[in-house]
Amino acid sequence: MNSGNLNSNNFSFLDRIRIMDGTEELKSIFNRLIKDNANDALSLINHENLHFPSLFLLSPEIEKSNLFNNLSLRNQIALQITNEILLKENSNTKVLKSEYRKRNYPVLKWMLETGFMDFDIGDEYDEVLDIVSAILTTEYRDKSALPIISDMIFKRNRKGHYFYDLVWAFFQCRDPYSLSLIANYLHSRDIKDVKLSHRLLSFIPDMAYEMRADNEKQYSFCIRWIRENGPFLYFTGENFHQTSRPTPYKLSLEAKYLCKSICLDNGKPIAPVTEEEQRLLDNFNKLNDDIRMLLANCSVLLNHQNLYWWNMWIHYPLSEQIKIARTRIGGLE
Amino acid sequence: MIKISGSPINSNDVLNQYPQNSIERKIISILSSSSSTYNYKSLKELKFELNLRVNIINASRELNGTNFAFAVFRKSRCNPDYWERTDEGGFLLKKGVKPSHAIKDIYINASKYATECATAMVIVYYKALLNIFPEELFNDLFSEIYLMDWQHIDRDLGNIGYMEKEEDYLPGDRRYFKNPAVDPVHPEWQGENAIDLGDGTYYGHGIGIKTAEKIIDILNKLRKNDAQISAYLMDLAGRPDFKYLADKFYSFSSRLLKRNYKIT
Repeated sequence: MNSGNLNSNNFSFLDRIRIMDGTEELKSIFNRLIKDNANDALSLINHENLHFPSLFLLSPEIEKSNLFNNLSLRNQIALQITNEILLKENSNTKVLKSEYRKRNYPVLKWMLETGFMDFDIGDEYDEVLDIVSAILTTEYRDKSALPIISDMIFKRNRKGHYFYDLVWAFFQCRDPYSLSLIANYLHSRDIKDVKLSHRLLSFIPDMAYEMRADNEKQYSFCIRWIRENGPFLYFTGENFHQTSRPTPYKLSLEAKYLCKSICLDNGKPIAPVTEEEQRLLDNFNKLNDDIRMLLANCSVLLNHQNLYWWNMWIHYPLSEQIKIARTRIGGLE
Repeated sequence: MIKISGSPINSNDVLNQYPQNSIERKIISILSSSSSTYNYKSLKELKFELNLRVNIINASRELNGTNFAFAVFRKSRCNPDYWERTDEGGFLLKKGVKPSHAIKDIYINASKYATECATAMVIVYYKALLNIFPEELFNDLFSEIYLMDWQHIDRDLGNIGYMEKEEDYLPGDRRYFKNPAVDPVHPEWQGENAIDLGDGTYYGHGIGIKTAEKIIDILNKLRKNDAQISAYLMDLAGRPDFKYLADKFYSFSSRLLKRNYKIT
């Protein structure tokens, strides 16, 4: 389930030392290089293929040897961002200021993409990656970061490490279709993955709190639900900081009934509701939740199958709509 | 309206049992003047809720008066004599330690502890129950405490992790101040869990005892660049299952009475 596709050719010389011989050896070699030939040390640390963990681990050596000004712009920005995160300075100051937004983006991406596979470096390193993830999802709404973030969430959970800020960052991207990245872990052989996947998706109706024996069925159900309801979901902002079982997205039954897309941020229809649609909704909202759900499900089904039929059905009296829905969907009496 | 065993009660009869300007009187006034009906099996069930709410408030004020520090989970700390700090930053009750002693220690040796606001709320609930329950019952019910925001709450206290829209908000409720435009560098300020202290102020760990306006003002200062949306108090509350806990309390008390009766 790794999102990265990094083969050993992508690693720089310093990365290979870190991976093969460990952090202490990396620091020792880098220190020796600085003494013997500072230019060589700089060309290695500024190498295009360097991965963020090596830069992070060598930052005390860089500071000690006053090499900061000789670093590449990418490395300078990455270390400044790291310092700001660890010193907990407001993003309204210094390097994370909005005027540097465009310049920071590729550096933030580099930090995450080359840094996410290493999760045994320490708490401060994890904290930096959490905040980098959050900046990418909240400030840039960067959906391409989500596969990596979900990967980190599940890896941390397996190790019993803190992952709640990553969950928050993941949902902040406001992309209901990204829920399928979490659903993928229903397939996992690791029971911890399956449990966490269930927990994060427990707001989806019928995703039982208790795990069902057949995770394949549950996965298929989940993916179908996301596909069917995606256009009618809106973001609530609920998170683990606030509640035991957050509901990050809510389904607008009204939107599903009218087959009308809504704004993800507030649940309001993107296109204005016509007088005719309002009349339909007034009647629809007099029904109980179970019947509203039945009609909403039937509406989407018919709309996908045949627009002509759907148009006829939605203009039938409600009693007729319910009768047809019961035949098509079944269930409720 | 308050109903006991299905019948409406004269709220003055209950009000008169509590001092003027007390939190209990305030709660009874809200319940009795509400358009919602609040049903209780017995007067003692109602009184248990009043008592627990007052103790939630007292435990909040008490915790605020200690040196208990604010820290994100990664930097959380606890007294290792009573708790084991887990890799995710929570506090797990050590084997062989009495839960009542471990909760009391947070208040006694508060400077040895630091955590986030949600965990502080859970500590407040435990302390409030400890003030009411006999130690034996408390230790029996909460034998395996793991303090880590709303994620590992004991089943008997499970409801505190959920928030619902309520007809009336009462002193002792857990409320949530949401900060939707929080600076991503400070995810710990994405919101503030707080206890309604019943006098127009709220206790939130890390912020202290402040009015709603002041808490919002503080959270607004922790927003991201060019934020347009203000922090706000959500129209939701979290509450323990007062009736369930009352039942546990009174069942235990009656068992204890029988036990003592047999002994003597």
